[in-house]
Amino acid sequence: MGPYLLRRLSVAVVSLVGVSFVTFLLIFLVPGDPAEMVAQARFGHDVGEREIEMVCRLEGLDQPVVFQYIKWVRHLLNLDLGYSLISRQSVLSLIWSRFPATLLLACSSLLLSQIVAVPAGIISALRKDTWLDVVLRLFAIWGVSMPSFWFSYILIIFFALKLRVLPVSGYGSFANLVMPSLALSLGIAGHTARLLRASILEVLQQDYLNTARAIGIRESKIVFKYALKNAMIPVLTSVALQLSFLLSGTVIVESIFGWPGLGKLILDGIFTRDFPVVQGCVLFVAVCFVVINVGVDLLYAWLDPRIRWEARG
Amino acid sequence: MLEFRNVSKVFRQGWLKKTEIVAVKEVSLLIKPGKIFGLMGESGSGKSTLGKLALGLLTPSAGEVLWEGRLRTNLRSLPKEARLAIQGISQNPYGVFNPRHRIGYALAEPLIYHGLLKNEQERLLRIREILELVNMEEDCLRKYPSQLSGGQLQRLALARILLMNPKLIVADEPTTMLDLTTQAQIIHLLKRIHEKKGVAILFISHDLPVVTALAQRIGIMYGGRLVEVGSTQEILTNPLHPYTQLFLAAAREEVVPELQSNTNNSKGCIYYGSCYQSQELCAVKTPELIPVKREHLVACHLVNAAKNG
Amino acid sequence: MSSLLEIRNLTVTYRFQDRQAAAVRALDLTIREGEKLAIVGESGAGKTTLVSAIMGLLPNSAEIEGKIFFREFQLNPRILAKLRGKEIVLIPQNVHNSLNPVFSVGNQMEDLLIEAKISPNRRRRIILDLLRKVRLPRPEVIPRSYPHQLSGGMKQRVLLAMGLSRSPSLILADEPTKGLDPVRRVGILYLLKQLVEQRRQSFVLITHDIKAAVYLSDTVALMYQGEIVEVLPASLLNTHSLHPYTTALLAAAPERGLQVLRRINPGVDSSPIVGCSYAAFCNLCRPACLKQKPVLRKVASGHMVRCHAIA
Repeated sequence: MGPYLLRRLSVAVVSLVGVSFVTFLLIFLVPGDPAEMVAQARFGHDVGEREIEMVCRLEGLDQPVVFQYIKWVRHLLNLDLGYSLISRQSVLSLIWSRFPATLLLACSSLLLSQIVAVPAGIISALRKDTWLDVVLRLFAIWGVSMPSFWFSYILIIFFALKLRVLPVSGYGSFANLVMPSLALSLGIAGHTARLLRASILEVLQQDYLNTARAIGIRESKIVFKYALKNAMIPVLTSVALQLSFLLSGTVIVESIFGWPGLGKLILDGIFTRDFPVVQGCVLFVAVCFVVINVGVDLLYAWLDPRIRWEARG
Repeated sequence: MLEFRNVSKVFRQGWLKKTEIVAVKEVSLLIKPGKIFGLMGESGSGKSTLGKLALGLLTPSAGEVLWEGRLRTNLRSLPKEARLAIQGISQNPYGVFNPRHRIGYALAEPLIYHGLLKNEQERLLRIREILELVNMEEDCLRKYPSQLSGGQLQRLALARILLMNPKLIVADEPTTMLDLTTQAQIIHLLKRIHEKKGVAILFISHDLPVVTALAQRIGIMYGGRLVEVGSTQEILTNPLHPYTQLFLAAAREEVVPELQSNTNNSKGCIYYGSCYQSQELCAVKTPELIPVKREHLVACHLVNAAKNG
Repeated sequence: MSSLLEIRNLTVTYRFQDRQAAAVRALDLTIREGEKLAIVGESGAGKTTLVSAIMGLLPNSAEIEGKIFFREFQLNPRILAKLRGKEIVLIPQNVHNSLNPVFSVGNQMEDLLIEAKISPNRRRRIILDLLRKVRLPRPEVIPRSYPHQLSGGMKQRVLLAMGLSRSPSLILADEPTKGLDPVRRVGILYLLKQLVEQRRQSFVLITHDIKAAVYLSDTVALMYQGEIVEVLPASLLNTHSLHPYTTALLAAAPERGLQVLRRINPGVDSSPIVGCSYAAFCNLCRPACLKQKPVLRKVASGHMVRCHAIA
């Protein structure tokens, strides 16, 4: 396990370095002169040459790119992500204030999706080709195909406007959480259910299950201990990866429901050309991705012992 | 002819802390043209790896594999005839053919790909000729692999490589997955191909009766090393290496060896841990494969000592 | 000796979409207490199907007709679930995929014993005992290991140990020597012989390895295309066999010159519905063989043959 862990971590570090470089380059990739953008943000749209030059010197934008990068990284290591051009708040504090909302939504969506999908996948697999299986699979496909924003609107129309049991949008109460979670969980639930079904079916064909039966182990134990552990492996890793997507803030759903999360922060930042905010968010999300990916790899190795001792020719 | 010059093949595992699996260690062997050589050993002895090295599917970690004086690595640099001179068939006949193509297409494919016979008529003629050699009816061309039995597929696998006129066939356990009666057919077929086309065969197997029925010379491998080489007659009547003796005795059901846990002996004789007549020298120095009699080579300190002393 | 397992008129048909194939046809077989029987046949003979049918492990696409009795019980899924692993045990053929790769060997062996409500300490001791009994080197290390860390030979012995753990009355061993090199083969044969002779267990060996069949069993039954074509004492197999298929099988052994005594490609349509199933390949085939199916007839004490030409 040791060498495997080390390998994963070193790959993670390399990824992070790469990500940091690309996010840093973001300002240079955006059309327009960075100095001008910063000056416009500070002094208003009609900004003169002198102000631009002053900003340039102040922010060190006239320096070679590499120096700027190093300076940026040093700031990073001090957990300084810069300041919003608009609100002058520290980007880190902005992210920190928005992240909990996204985290809450992500976790509840994920939880909801799994509560629905796992039993559905298992039942679907065990009752293969019965009408129950067909119905569940249809639901799953529907879930995967339905765009989340459209589903959001359907939910709003039905629950908020027609039945009046839930608020249209907002943040704060449990009622606010229901619809956005539903909207996001649908796609994940459909995907997970189908994946789990396929995985279980494949595992059920394996010889070792028959051996277990031949040896006399109870059928219930065979399904719920032997088959399930093997079948869960690809599913768990897929679900964990879904978490990374959710954490990046699902912009559309957050916008529709007025959910004050990361997604909305990034969106606003893009529209206002507030690139420190955008940079900071992208970096944050990338870090989440990398961390979750490493976690998934470790999880995978823990579950499947064969991975711990892989050979290469 | 095929020559292995001090060939080793090591498989590496791990990233920071490298563990090595030595599949083949310092094997030197000569396979003469038009002869059948039987390579025997237990599972894990390295015989399949050696076969793959001959085919050029693997490159040696050390040493050279030469065919008619040319290196077998970097096959693309060789002229076509040299590249196609060595062909192989393997254990699993069901895995050879693409299940989605008909046999006719599968057989014509290598001819087309290598530009060996441009004319479709010529191709068909040649395919018919080879089909007759392998004792298959022409109607198999229209069938899919799933419609044929293991024995038939193995014969077609042979047909496919024969279309390229190889000078050496590496047969890696071609009959292990086949029934007894089918095995007999395939062995007869190999004999026939050998007689009619003068093809050399490197026959890899652990089945002693089959190898002795087919091969003129036999080599025994253990733990990646070649421990004894000699004519079939010589090996059967006068096995000199302790492992060969054990192997033959086990095949004749005369002795029951214990199951070994993996021994990885880097120094000394590869057979040291299990040998019944080992001495201190065997633990520290690797014996060389030395001719003890004419054309009979053994890698054992005690045998060499007996010969000299 | 009383009969332990009785198979009456067993037919197993696999259905796949619109096609069907009978893997076992109207088979009758009786195994007595303490009997050691070998079922010899090549691939497609139906041996594995027969064994799966006895164990109740056939896939859903299989249809079974006929009855199987274990002692006085007629086997059905419910009874089989109780008998498997305790009274009837199968040592499977495919060693490499027979152990669950994500659980340790010890974990899987313990599961067996947990069913029998044995205390944890006793379980551990029993497991070590079993591993020693199958002559595995360094048995203390095995329970902690995962299947992929063990060699094929070791896995096979673990499966054997698992099979023996509850002292079953009937052991079915499916091709234990398939693909094994001579060294491992002789090891497992000797081990099986030792283990089986010690107790009064009935032992059924399924194999195409004739020498193994003779070594391990008292009686040999030869199967071809889902039917038993000959039954005779093991000691007589090499010298007194009568059915043309048996003769062809024996002749094909390398020690006897790898003779091919049957036609390579079928002379007639290879799946005759009427008549003898071996007719297409048989060198003794006569017109009657194509019209009427021969019956298993007794030709001598303990020797039965299914052939028009012989009986």
